[in-house]
Parts: sequence; C-alpha cells; structure tokens
Amino acid sequence: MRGQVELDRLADYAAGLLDGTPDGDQVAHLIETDPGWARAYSDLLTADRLVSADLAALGADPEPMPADVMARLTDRLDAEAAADRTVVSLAARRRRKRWTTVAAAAAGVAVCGALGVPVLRSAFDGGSTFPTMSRDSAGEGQAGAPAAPAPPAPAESGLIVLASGRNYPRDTPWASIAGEPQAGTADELARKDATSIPPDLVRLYGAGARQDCLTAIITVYGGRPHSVDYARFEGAPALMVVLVDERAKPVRMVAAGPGCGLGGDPDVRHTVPIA
Amino acid sequence: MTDARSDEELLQAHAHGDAEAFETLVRRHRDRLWAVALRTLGDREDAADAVQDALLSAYRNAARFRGDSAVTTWLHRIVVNACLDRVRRRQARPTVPLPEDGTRGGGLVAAPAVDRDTALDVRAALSRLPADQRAALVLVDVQGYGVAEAAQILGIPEGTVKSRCARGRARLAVQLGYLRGEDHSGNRPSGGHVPSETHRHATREEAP
Repeated sequence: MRGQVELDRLADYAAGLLDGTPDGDQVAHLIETDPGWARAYSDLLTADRLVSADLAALGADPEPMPADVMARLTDRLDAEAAADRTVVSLAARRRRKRWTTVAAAAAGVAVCGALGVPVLRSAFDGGSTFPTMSRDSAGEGQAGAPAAPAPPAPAESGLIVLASGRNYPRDTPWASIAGEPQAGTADELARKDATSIPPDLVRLYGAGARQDCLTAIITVYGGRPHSVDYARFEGAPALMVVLVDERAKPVRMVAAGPGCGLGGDPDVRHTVPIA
Repeated sequence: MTDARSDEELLQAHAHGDAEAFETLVRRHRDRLWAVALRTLGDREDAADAVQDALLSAYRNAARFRGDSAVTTWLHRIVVNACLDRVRRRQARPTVPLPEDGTRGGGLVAAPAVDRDTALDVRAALSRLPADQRAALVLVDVQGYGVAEAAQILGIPEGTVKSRCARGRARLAVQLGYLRGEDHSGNRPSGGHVPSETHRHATREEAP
C-alpha cells in the first residue's frame, strides 16, 4: 500500500468518518509509517481549513434572485395558475353565446364562457399576478346590456381570456366573430381547453407578459383590450385581440405574434378595423 | 405588507386554492433557492430553468406535501433534484478530472499562497466537482445548512453528506492549489500518489 495516497480515503479519515473501523486503523497505520501519507495527511488538514474558509466566504456573498429571473418565474406561475383552472363547460350554452355577451363581462358583469372555450377573467385589476377564473355565467343572456364606461386602467382590467386554439383564416368575417353568434363554431371550440394553447404562446399566458403585449398594442392602435384568444392566424400561433371603444363596442381585431410585448413591440401579424 | 402566515400555512392555502399564497412562499425563499441552484449548476440560465422547473413542480404537487420535513427543506430538495437532473442530462460532457499535476506521481504538498480572485476560482473549481459532491458542499459549506438538513434535502444518510463534503473539499484543495502533486522542479516529495478520479471511484465507496 506504501506510496499510494488515496485522496478520498484520506479525506474520509481526516473527517473522522473511518473512526473505529478497520479501514480507519489501516489509514492510521499508513500515516504513522509512510512519509508520503504522513505529509499528505498533514497538508490535507491545512488545506481543508483553507477550502472551508473559501467556501464560507463564497456563501457570505449575497446572491439574490435577479429581477428578470423572478419575472420569468412569476409569468410561468401565472400561466400555470391560469391553465390550472377548471374549464367552463359551455356545451349547454353555446348556442346563446355572443361576443356581445362577453362585452357585458368587460363592462363589469361576471360573464364567462362566451365561446365554449376556457374563459378566464384576469385578476390584474385586483392587483394579483395570478389570474383567477370566473366560473359563473351570471351575465348569460345579457347581450345588449348597457355598456358601462371603460375602466381607466390597466390594460387587462376586465379582460376576457379565451384559449380556443382555433385557426383564424385571413378572410374571417371579423365583425361577425366579434359581435355575432358563433353558430357552427361552438362545437369545435367546446372540445378545446387551456392545454390547446399553442406552445409558442405559453409565454404570453403569463399575466405580466400578456399585459406587456396588450400595452404595446393599445399604444399603437388605441382602444381597450376586450378579449384575447390564444389561437392561430393563418396557421401561425397568434394572440387574437379584440379592441373595443369607450362604449365597449368592438372596433379592431389584432393578431399578435409570440413576440408581442418584447421590447414594446406588438408583433402584429394582421389587423383589421371592425366596422 | 408581510404575510404573517407560516410556510406550512401558505402551502396549505395554495393547495386549497389561495391564488397568492404560493407566490408569497416563493418570494420568501427565492434568494436562498436561487443561490443553491446557481452555485450547484454554475450557470445562470441553467439555474433559472432549474428553479422554474422545480417551483412549477412544487406548485403542482403542493397537495402531496405531507409535512414530514419543513416546507423550506422540501422546496430545497425539489430545487436540488432539478439541478442534479440537469447535470445528469448534460453529462454527455464528462466531469473534468483533476489536473494532471494534482493527480499523478507526486505527494500532496501544501502550495504557496497565490494572489488571485478567490471567489472566481472557487466557483470555477466547484463547477468541476462531481455533481453529488458539489451539491453537498453548496448546501453545507456554502449555504450553511446543517448536515442533518442537507441529508434531508439530498435524501441520503448524514454520513454520506459528510463524506461528500470531505472528499469535495479535498478535490477543491487540489484544484485551488492548496494541495498539489509533484512540483515538476525536481523537488519531488515523498513518493505519495493521488490516483486518478476514475480509479478512486472504482476503488472506494463513499462513507455511508
């Protein structure tokens, strides 16, 4: 055994982990009889103290979580919270749903489920970063209810969030989509749930990222975001945003790409005014 | 305003649908969890991903927390496991072996003190340790957790934690130049030999 210092074994011995074992006795014997082991043991004891001091010094340096990492984490948890909610079953209601019904929700009436898809109402106006879902349909049948004045801010206040995953072609009759019954589409949409969000749009499912996106959009187009749909435009992942005027009347549709909100860019793929 | 609820109460509240409880819990422990991840992985992006994966897992599995350890221990365990999973996944890159002059042909001798940015050196040396040793050292010697809590976090016996720390410090001593092998100047010390990492692993198990 003479002449071969085994570092791990010596480290275990120096830490007292071999005390009372035959292996410990053997290492002790080597240290007593082999100058190489004796020197290595002595040096290791000194070095161990130096390393311990270095590691403790490293630990004394504060290492706070960077703000951008925390923001990413919060966005991801927001998305998780949103996707986690129970999908509202609208199979029984789908014939009656209108975007105008959804408008009533934006005006402060608790409405959800307009399109037979997961409908989530942002809790941003409540100051929480975790969206909550409105499970009720108290506003059902309230199409045509008088629109309340638009809340002043922030961008997501009262926002209706849909996750249909559907594909909107360029020639979609936007006025119809925004204000007319969804005949013929509800069955398809009812099969979808929050998991149908295109992967490229997951970032935008976080309330923080979504608000950045909506802020970028209204900076360019004005109006107020009324509803968003995590969907596709011409086959590409897109956040379909309906903007309304101060009377909650739909005035514009914007298809925003996955980069929406990054650096203040709305990443608009398509937009049309709604007459 | 500070939430006065305990970690356990927050986790329970989250499991029962309190939308803000988990975020409060995260904010309370984020810096320590981040430090553990960053120092275990040595890479900012990897650490961010690991923490995110871990906390999402904790978010989803909160209802399964049984209270047989502190919530913070549980969170650390999930974060450390996420870090070690990442290390294993990227381990197509093998662990960097000890430098040749620290592993062959020479005895272990104390090296002269050198002027350098110690913190950077320590971080770099830590990143070259085997992940299991690194995780134990980060928890115990860097973050200051007791051996018993580190053992709970890592899910291993206390003796194994001690062994990983002792062996890890010994390797760091070589990498940091506190110990070195033959000095190549002809002043060969007394015949000791530190075998290669592979050999050591093949011949000696960690203490239990």
